[in-house]
Amino acid sequence: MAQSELVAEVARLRQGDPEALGPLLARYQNRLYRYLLRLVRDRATAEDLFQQTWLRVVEKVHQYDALRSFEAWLFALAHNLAIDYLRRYRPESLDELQSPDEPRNVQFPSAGPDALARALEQERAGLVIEALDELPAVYRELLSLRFEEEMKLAEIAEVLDMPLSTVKTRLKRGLERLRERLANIAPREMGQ
Amino acid sequence: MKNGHETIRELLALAAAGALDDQEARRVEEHATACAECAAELERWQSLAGALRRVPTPQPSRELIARVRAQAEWKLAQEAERRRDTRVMALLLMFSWTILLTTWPLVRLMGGGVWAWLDAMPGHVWFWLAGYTLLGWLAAGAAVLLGLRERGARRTA
Repeated sequence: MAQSELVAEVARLRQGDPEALGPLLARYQNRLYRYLLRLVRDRATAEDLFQQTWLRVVEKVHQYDALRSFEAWLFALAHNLAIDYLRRYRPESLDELQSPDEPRNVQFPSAGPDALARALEQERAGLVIEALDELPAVYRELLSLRFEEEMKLAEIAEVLDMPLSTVKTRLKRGLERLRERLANIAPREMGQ
Repeated sequence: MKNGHETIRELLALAAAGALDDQEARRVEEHATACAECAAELERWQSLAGALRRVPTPQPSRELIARVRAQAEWKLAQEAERRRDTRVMALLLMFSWTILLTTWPLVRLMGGGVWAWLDAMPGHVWFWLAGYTLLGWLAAGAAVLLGLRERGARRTA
C-alpha cells in the first residue's frame, strides 16, 4: 500500500467506513504483532494487546493528527497499552526503566567476539531471539523498533515519547547488552 | 579525556545501527579505513545488526485477525452511534434551553405583561404555554436519557 493509499484508508476510517479496516490491518498486522510479542514475550498477552490496540485505533482515530505519521501513532498506542499492562502485571520487567541510562563499563567476555562471530555466522536466529528475550523490556522494544520495524530514530522518539538523545543512548546500551548476552549464550548453546 | 580513537569506538554500535548523523558517520568511516581494530569492531557490530534484521517474524493467526476485525467493526459502528447520539443530545439541549429562555418574553408579548397574564390570560394561551413548556421538558428529558445511555456504554466498554 503506497503512502497516498494509506492516507486515504485512514481518512475513510475516520469517516467510520468499516471497509477501511481490512487494508490497514493487512498492512500492519505482522509488524504490530511482532512488536508486541517482543515487548511482552507471551503469545496470549500479545494477542490480547494486539486486539486492544486496534479497538483503541477505532476509538481514537478522530483524535489522530493527519500531519503525523500514522505508523508512529499506531505503535505509540500499542506501546502505551503494553506499558500499562507490564506496569500492572509485571512491574519487575520495567525496573530498568527507572535508570537504564547510567553509564556502564561494558566488558565483553574475553571469548566474546569469537563466540559472537560463530553464533552469527551459523545464522543461529534462535540464539539472537533468546538473547533478545533476556534483555530488559526497554531495550527489547528499542531494538525491535529499530531493526525489525526499521523505524527512524525520530519516529522511535515519537512512539516512546522520549528525546532523540535518550533514544540514541538506550539504543547503544541495548546493543551492548545484547552483544554481552549473545556472547555468553553462544558458547553454552554450542556446547563449548 | 578520550582520544579520537576511543571517541570513534564509542560510536561504532550506533554506526552499525544507522543511528549517526552524516558528520558522525563520515568520521567513523574515515577512521575505520585507517584503523584495523575499529574496522574489525565495526564489522562485529554490523554482523549483530544484520542478525537482528534477519530474526524471523512471528505471524498472528488468521483466527486472531478475523476476531480483531469483527470486534473493530462492531466498535466502529458503536462509535458512530455514540457520535450521532452526542450530536442529537447537543441539539436537544440547545432546543430546550431556547424554549426555556424564550418563555417569559413570549408570555409578555402575548399577554401584554406578566401581571396582565397572571390576571386574565385567555384559555388558549394557557394551552399553548403548557404545550410549549412540555416540549422544552421533553427535549431536556431526551437529552438526559441519551447522556445516561452514553455514560452506561462508556462504563461497559
